[in-house]
Amino acid sequence: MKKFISLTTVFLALSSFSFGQECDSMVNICYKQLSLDSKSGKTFISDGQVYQAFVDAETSAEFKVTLYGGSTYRIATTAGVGDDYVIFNVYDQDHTLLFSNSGQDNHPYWDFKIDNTLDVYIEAYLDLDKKVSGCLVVLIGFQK
Amino acid sequence: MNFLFKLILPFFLILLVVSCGGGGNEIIVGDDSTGGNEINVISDNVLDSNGAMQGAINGKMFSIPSPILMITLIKSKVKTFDEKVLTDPEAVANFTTTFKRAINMGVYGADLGYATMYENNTKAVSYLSSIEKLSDELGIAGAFNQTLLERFIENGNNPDSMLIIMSEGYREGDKFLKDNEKHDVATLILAGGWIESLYFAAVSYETSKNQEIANRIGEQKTGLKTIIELLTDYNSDEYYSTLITDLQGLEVEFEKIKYNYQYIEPMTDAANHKTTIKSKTSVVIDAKVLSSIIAKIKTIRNSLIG
Repeated sequence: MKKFISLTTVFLALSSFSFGQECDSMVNICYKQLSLDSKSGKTFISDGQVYQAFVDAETSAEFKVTLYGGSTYRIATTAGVGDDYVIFNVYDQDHTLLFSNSGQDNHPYWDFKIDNTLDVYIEAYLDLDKKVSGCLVVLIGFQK
Repeated sequence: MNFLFKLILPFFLILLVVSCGGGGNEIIVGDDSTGGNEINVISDNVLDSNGAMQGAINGKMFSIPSPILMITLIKSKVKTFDEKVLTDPEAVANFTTTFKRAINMGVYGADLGYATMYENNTKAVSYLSSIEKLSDELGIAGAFNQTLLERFIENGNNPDSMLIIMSEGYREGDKFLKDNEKHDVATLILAGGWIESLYFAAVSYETSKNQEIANRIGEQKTGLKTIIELLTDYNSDEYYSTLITDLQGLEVEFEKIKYNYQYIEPMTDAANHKTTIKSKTSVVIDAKVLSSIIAKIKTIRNSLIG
């Protein structure tokens, strides 16, 4: 029994390490998206927070964000090597859909020019045709 | 030999499990588009074990507004650098508890952002040095190291690059803390930065009476609610009770603000990967309520930096 517990512990520790590593590399991939294709030549500055979750077919990541009027934000996502694994939706305070990247070939990042300050809900989940479980990372950047 | 066998056996068994897959508790994913490189084998118990690895708390993810955006607005309305709004970077030695260190790491982060945006590099570097010390004391490995400090100094003529480097440090710290289940410390750092940026706004409004700054103060209701919820979740040892009570007092005032929202269809420019959110919102704050909010913010902030 002791041997079983010991083996299980080692297995779980290594698995955690492996998934931790998986998330680490994804955060770095996602971070690079904050500076891609910036038409104005400006890089988006990270809000300093890492939104990461382990998701599967039945779970999604959701959080509420205040977006300030007069600002431009970039929401960047990743869940692996392919850059179209994540579907993300942006809803307003009444849960009316404002944007979904599913209609844009699951593009991994999208810019949002905000006319007036508002609270939005960001929901992100895996496109099950491409991946059914793993680490999912979302980063939010803004232009000064 | 026996020891070596015990050491190596688990690795072989793990390889065996990973290679074979299958079984009722496992999900096997193969993605042909990646040439078979993206194969994950995940058992349910491993998924459970990784619950703590998530950037989520009790299944919830959260976001607190960055101080930089508040400072950006303030700088556009108040052109002169005001050293009096900043804390003393040398006070770092006075912070001896995890609570004080974490909350003031956030406060110093906002001060660093303020000094950087007003291009006071000497002041900025002194805050970054203090942040490095607090980061070490909080056990945040590698987030604010010597390399980051050197890069920050090297980019001294480019405030945008300096802000990007600074945000990298905070992002690394946030990830480290969340990966290591120190969600309370991560929240305190974010809360400290948020409170300090709100303090900047409060003082700036008093001197400028600028309506946009007043509106921005009123727009902090969601951030405040999130911080109270998070701190309450971690308050089993009641370390944060005073701060929570103070913030709840502030929340009472925010409840008196009127918010209006009108949905307007967004406009998407697919070619440029950009959507303009055009919904209309407004904030209506009574002058007395705003004065009370400003007074409470100043009291809370000053109690934290002492």
